[in-house]
Amino acid sequence: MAWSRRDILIGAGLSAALGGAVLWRLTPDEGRGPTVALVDRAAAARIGERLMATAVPPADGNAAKARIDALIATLPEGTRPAELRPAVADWVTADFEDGRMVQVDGWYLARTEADLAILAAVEARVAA
Amino acid sequence: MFVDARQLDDGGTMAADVAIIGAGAFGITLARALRGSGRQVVLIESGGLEFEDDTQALYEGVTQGIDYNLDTARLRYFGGSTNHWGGWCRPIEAHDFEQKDWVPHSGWPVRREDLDPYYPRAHELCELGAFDYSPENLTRIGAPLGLPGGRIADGFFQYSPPTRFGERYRDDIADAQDIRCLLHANVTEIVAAHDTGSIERLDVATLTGKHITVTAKTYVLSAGGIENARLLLASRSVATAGLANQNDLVGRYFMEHPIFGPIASWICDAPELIAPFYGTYTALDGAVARGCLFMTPEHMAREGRLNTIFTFTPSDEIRYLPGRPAEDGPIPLETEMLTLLRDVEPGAEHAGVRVYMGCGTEQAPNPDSRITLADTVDALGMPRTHLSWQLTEGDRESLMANIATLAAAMGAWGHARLRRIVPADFTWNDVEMFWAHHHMGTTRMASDPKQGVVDANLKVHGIANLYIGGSSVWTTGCGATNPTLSIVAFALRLADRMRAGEA
Ligand SMILES: Cc1cc2nc3c(=O)[nH]c(=O)nc-3n(C[C@H](O)[C@H](O)[C@H](O)COP(=O)(O)OP(=O)(O)OC[C@H]3O[C@@H](n4cnc5c(N)ncnc54)[C@H](O)[C@@H]3O)c2cc1C
Repeated sequence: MAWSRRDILIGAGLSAALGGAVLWRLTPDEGRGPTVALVDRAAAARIGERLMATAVPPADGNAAKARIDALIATLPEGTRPAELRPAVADWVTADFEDGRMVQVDGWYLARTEADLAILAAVEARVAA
Repeated sequence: MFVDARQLDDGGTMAADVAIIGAGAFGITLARALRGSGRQVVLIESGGLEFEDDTQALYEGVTQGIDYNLDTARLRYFGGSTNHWGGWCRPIEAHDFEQKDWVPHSGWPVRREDLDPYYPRAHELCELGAFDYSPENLTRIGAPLGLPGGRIADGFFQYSPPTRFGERYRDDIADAQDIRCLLHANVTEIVAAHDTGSIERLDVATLTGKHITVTAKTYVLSAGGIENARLLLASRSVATAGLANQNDLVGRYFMEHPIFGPIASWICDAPELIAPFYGTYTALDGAVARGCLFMTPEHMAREGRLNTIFTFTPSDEIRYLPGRPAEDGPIPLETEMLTLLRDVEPGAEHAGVRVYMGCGTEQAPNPDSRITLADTVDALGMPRTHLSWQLTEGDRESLMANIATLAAAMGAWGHARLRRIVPADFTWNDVEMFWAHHHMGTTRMASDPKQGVVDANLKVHGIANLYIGGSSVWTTGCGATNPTLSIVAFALRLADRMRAGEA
């Protein structure tokens, strides 16, 4: 399956604000959201939960989603799911190079991977 | 030749060309290097050839500020603190001598080139390998990590066996016709002439109650980084504020190297990229080396930071067990973090390794961090040391920023994520740390007498015939570089100048 940029954006755009702690829903089809770039979404979701509870600076779900959407919007038309992971890796590298980091339990994460972990946590909450 | 001062006549006098106070790394090196120079040397040592409780007790003192044990941080007998030093050696970096706009009171009046001719000989005396700390030399025993971004550099220490100067060079001192080493001899005052422009004599006392006077043409104070200041401050029969203290500098700017172990841990999905020399002592051409990481001068200049030297423990394997905490310790999120490294797949048995990091970190020169005299006196009637060691918020911020810089470089490398272990909001008074036993700054070096106690040649400003040796002359903390190799190099430099008639 090839993704069009439109698919990804619409996939993400399908999310609806739920209010309370869960701020949005990515897509009913887990395989189509940007968290497919994560090797292990369940593990990332645990990081995301911790980020939402304790991160420094505090994790802001809406801001995380907006940043990921903006990054995805830079991908070329026709990007395939398999190509998302290397793109995320590049964004993560760029974050570290430019010092865009988030701390959780003493761990230093790139902002993009932290944002994806937050999205994974929200997905997991919705699925539960 | 060794002479036990307790056997000398009370009230006796001894004369020499050069009187050296303290037979530690500096004093022994200088005395040895002056053999055959035509100068008669008296090397005056407080202790005997072995440890003795009552002599060691002369080092006890009072502390305020950061908790510090003045007694166990040094040893008071022939060989000095080299009787228990760890042997870690690295030369001072060229950039450490420079004046740095972001480090107040920085800038030595000497350059690395002034010491370079002496480092190879200092290496021999410390029983190290070749004097070659270049990255190229390191690549001969493995590939450096080479973290991207130009902010973190790879380097290495060499290890002295460690050389116990008092044992290793005892026979040289005993056999030298032109050295008398007075043991159990405590200098209690360096007595200046009335105009304080020169030194007239040393008052020496034994714990058995004998008093001796030593006179010389040239005097060298090398009693260790704390005791140098104490002895100058206590030498106040002529200069009431203490000798060489007309600018209120003696005892100020006390610096140490705070040591954390561990300060961080990191996980890595590519253990084969971590050369063994980082985690274990590794043979390098007859020497023993161990890798480390530190901040590049460019990064420190750009960000206005002090230096931190990071060292590694050997790595532990982490198995990747999805959904379960790491097997051998409840490190929060460690297993999960492995999944963020792109090469780790769920179910991998040997997913990665964990490495703990220790560090030594630099403190900026601070006039309020200081040694003064306590109200109490020791068994010889000398005022005890009062140490108020002060570390600042700036020192703390620099360390925290350096940890974040290392985390960023490891993340950009792509094979690691770093976790800070020290709490983000720690304070120097409550954090669990050690110190390196490096006593620096209390008789600092500067060309301007208003900024320093000694000049570039170790001569005390305003006193014609008094020199000071040891890390008390350090102007800055020099990262966390251990000082003894450079102390020995400075002693060899002074010996050469004396031999050339320049001192
Ligand atoms: C536990 C420990 C580990 C260390 N590890 C390292 C390391 O790995 N690498 C490194 O580079 N450095 C290390 N150091 C520091 C190192 O030991 C010192 O830098 C070095 O010994 C200083 O040499 P010095 O000659 O200036 O002083 P010292 O070696 O302290 O010698 C001073 C001498 O003066 C004598 N003395 C003192 N007062 C008087 C007096 N009033 N009259 C007469 N004699 C006096 C003392 O008895 C002593 O013998 C360590 C220190 C300690 C305590």
